[in-house]
Amino acid sequence: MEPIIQVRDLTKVYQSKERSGLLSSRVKNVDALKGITLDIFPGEVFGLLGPNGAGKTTLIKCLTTLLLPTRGAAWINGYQLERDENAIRASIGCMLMGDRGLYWKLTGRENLDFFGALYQIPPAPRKKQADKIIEMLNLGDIVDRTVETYSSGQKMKLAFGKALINDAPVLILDEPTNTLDLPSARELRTVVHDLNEQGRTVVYTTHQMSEAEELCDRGASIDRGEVIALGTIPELKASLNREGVTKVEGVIPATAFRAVRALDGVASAALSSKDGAQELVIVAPNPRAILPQLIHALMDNGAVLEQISPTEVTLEDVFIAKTGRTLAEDTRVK
Amino acid sequence: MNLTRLQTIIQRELLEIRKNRLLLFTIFLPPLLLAFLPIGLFAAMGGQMGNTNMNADQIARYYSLSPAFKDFSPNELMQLIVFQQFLVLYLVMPLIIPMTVAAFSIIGEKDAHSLEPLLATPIRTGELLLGKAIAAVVPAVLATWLAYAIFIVGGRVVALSDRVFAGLLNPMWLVAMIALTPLLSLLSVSIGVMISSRVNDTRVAQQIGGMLVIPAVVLGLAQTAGFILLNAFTFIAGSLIVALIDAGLLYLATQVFQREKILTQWK
Ligand SMILES: Nc1ncnc2c1ncn2[C@@H]1O[C@H](COP(=O)(O)OP(=O)(O)O)[C@@H](O)[C@H]1O
Ligand SMILES: [Mg+2]
Repeated sequence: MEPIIQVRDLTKVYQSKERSGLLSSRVKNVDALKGITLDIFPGEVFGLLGPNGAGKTTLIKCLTTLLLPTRGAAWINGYQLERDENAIRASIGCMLMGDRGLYWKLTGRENLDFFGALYQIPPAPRKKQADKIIEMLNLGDIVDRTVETYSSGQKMKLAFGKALINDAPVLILDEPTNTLDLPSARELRTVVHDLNEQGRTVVYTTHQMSEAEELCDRGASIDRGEVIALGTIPELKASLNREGVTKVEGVIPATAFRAVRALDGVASAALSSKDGAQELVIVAPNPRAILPQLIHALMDNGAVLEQISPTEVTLEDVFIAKTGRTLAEDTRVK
Repeated sequence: MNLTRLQTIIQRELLEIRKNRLLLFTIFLPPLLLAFLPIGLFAAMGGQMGNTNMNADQIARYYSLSPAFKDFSPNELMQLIVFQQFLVLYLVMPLIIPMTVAAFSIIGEKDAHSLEPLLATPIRTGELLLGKAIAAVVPAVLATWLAYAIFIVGGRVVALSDRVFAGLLNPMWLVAMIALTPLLSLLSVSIGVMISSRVNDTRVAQQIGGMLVIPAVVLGLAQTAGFILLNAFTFIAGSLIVALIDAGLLYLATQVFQREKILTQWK
C-alpha cells in the first residue's frame, strides 16, 4: 500500500535571535528535527510520541506547511511539501495549539463558518458540515454563544470540531486531550476512533503513552528530534520483550539511583516523582537475576522501599529503555 | 490573490470590530466630536469670536498670509482660521484609527494564538495582511469623511458669510480628504503591523503609535501661530511625500508579516 504521508530526512533548525548586548544580537540555532523519516498509511491512527520538546509540534508544523523544513522532503496525500501547499492544506484538517486558536469574540458557529469559508467551501455545504460537527460533538447548547464564555474543555471540543470543517482525508491532532479532564479525553478519543473507522487517516500527537496504546495502530517515539522507535504498538513493545521491566516505589535518593544505574545487568533506569513518592523504572534483560543486587544497591544508599514489582511492558518503558529518561522530563531547548 | 478568502477575512475583521465596543468608540467618537464640537461652539456664540484675545500683531500676520483676506472682517477671519484648525485635526484621525484597529486585530490574534491555525488553511499571508489592512483603513476613512460631511453641512449653518463658507469649501480640503486621508491611513496601518509584531499589549502599541500625530500637531500649531497657510499645493506635495513613505513602510510591513517570521519570531 502506498503511504498517504511520507517523510524523508526532514530536518528543521530554528534560528532565534538572542540579545547579547544592548544593540548586538547573535543567532542561536536549535536543532528541533534531525532527519525524521517515516511513512504513515491510509486509514491508520499513527501516534507521534515523545516528551515535551521532542519535536512533535515542529514536525506537525512542517507537515501542515506552517514551517519550511531546513532540509528533507515530505509528501502528503500525493502532494509534495513546498510545491503543492494549497493542495496539502486542503487535504489536512488540523488541530494545533490545543484549545487556543479560536476567535473568542465570535460564537462557535461563526468560528466554524469562518474557517470553512477559508477552505472556500460554498455556504450551503459549509453549513451542513458545521451542523454535522455540532451534532457529532454535542455542541448544540453552546455553539451560538461567544467562545469567551466557554469552559476550556468546550473550547477544546470546538477547536477539534474546527479541524473537521473541511472534511479532509487526513486529520492531524497535536495533543488534543492535553488540557481535558479524563472523561472528556475519553469521549474525544472515541470520536477520533469513529472518524478513523469512517476511513480518515489520523496523526495523533501525545506525550501520554497510555493514550497511544489505547488509540493508535502504529507509532513513532521521538526524542530530541530523532525517531528512536517506529512500528506497530505491539512491535514497539515486543522490542523490549526479552527484557523485563521492574518498578520500584518509595523514597529514592539520587545516590541510590546512580548506584542502580551502575549495576551490571541493568540496561537502563529512569527516576520520576509523582505526588511526593518516587518511582524508579528499571529495564533489564533478566530482572530476576539482578533482584538481590538491586535491593542491596538501593538499601545501601538510603532508599526507603515501599513496593517492588515486575510489570507489563508499556510504551513508556520502551522509551525509557531507549533513552534512560521518562516522558515527564522537559527536553525543550530554551 | 483570491477574492473569496480576502472577503472572508475582511468580513470577520468587521464582525469583530462591530462586537468590540471599545474599538467602535475609538473609530467613531473622535470624528463625531471633531465635527460637532466646532459647529456647536460657533452656534452657541452666535458666530462671534468677540472675546478673542489675539493681539494686533497676530491678526496682522493672518491678514498678510493671503491677499484674499483683505476684505475679511476680523471675526470672519478668525472663524475661517478656527475652521481650518479643526480640519487639520481631521488628518490626525486617519493616523490614529487604522493603527489602533490593526494593532487590536494582530495583537488579538497573537493573544488567542489564532495565527497558526489560520495560516494552516489555504490562506496566503498576503491575503491576510491585505484583508486586515482594508478592514482597518476603510472604517477610518469613512469616519473621517463622515465627520467632514457633517462639518460642511454644519459650517453652512454657522458660517458668518458666504466668503467664510467658500474658504471652508476650499478644494484643497477635498484633495486632503480624497488623497491624503487614505494615504495617511495606509501609513498608519503599516506602522500598526510593525509595532504589533513586537508588542503584546494594545495600549503599548497605541502609545508608540501615538507619536504619529506629532507631524499633524506641528502642522496645526504652525498654522495657528500664523506661520503657514495651508493650500492645495501643500496638500498635493504632502500626499506625494506620504505616498513615497507608504511604499517604503508597506514593503517593511510585508517583510515583518511573513509566515516563517510570524510563526517563529513573533513573541
Ligand atoms: N520558535 C522557536 N524558536 C526556537 N526554538 C524553538 C521554537 N519552537 C520550538 N523550539 C524548540 O524546538 C524543540 C522542539 O519543540 P516542539 O516541536 O515544540 O516539541 P514538542 O511539541 O515535542 O514538545 C524544543 O527544544 C523547543 O524549545
Ligand atoms: Mg508540542
